[in-house]
Amino acid sequence: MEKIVSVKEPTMHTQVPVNIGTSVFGLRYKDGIMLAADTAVSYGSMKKSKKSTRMASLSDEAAIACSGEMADFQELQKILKEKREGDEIENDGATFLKPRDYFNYPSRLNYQRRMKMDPLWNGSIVGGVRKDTGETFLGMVDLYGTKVEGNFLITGLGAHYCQVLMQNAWRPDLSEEEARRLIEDCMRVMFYRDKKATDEIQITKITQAGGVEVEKSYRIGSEWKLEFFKNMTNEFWRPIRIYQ
Amino acid sequence: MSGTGFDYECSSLSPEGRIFQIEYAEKAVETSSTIVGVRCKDGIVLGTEKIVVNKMMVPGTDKRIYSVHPSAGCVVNGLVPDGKSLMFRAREEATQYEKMFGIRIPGNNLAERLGMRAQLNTVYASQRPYGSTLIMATHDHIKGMGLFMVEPSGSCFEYYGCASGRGKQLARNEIEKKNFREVSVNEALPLIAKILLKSQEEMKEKKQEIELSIMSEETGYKHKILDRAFVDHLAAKAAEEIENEQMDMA
Repeated sequence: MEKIVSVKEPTMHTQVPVNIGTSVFGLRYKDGIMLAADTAVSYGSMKKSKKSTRMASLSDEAAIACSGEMADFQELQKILKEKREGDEIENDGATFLKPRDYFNYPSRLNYQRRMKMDPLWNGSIVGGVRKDTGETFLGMVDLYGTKVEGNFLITGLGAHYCQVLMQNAWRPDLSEEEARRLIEDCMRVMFYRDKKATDEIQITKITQAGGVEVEKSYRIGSEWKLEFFKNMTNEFWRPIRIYQ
Repeated sequence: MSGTGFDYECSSLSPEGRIFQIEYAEKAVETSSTIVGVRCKDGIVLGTEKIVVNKMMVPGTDKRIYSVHPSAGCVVNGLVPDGKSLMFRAREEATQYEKMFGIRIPGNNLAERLGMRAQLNTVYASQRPYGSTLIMATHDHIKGMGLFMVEPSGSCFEYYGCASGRGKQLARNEIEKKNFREVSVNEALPLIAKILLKSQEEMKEKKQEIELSIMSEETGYKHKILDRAFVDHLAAKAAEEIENEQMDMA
């Protein structure tokens, strides 16, 4: 019988993310929406940049935070900017510009791109507060175009580590201080567990009164002097294992 | 004007060295509504007057001022659809340039490209020139503000103040008389409304409308088309002033 020769397909560079940002967080709190991300961009396991902004304001009432391929994030920003400006100069009274639209548009875009086998490799969280009604919006889009809405959303590895943390601590009437502390807790867990995370985080607040505020990044402290870290991991666990 | 056979297409010159098709296009512009663009101390004002021909037309749907990109706007006269087509071309050029080079297109480049486009329509027998003039206000980070006028022949120059249409001469005189470069945009607006109303004197019996847009320091050099209520208010005031002047003269 004739031997079947497998033909190796050409490498599809667009189908492999290169510069990656890790998990982003979004949650509703009393005054509006809070988005958070750390500032690391990894190239494989190497941190290519520790000072990158992975979030952006889209209008005066909506913002986006992105994990995954950073080039695709920048492309998405460009596409949304073009769309917004195109709508603005039309000057016909019709507006595209509500927070929910900034969610629906990337979701459709991602679905289209995924069906072309050339996805935008992003998990993004879009948050917004409408200036006129005060209605808040928080949604998550993944690279397949799936839309998820919720009170607290996490992309990437964070969804595995911090989901329960959020579930237990989240209340609809979280104050800004509490929301910030919750996010910092989650970020600290991610810093301990996720090799692609850093302890420098950035937060974007969206409120009805203040609009979108992309804050400066700052470092959250971390504690490495714990007994667990001092001893070898196995040494730490051995006695416990034996006596069980 | 009779071309005696030399005016059928714009691919051939007449023995006197004229291209009649271009002149006819300019004629179409000259008999249409007046448009003006004026460069002021802190910005640029664009304006047009127009006659409401059909009473049943929904007001505000016959627009002559458009944004090209956030910091460029234009106003057209003559055959408005022709002007609109040129405007869409400008939008395309602007987005294409921004995609290619990552910065917003400089005003002079944009105007130049539009001029080239208009000129292209004057060299083929199968095409006719655009029957409209376009005045464009731009702002970029390289050269700052710029005011350009693209004519049917494809000529494109930068101006401190320019006008086109039926009230061209009058508007030009008025603009030259007043030194607009010492005047702020907000101060210039009523003056320009007055110029526009004056320039359509002979059409006075018909219902008239004006349209204005600004691009100034105040708007962050964003092109802003002024809303109808404000412009109508300005126009009413200007009309009143003109009437008073005429009373004084008489």
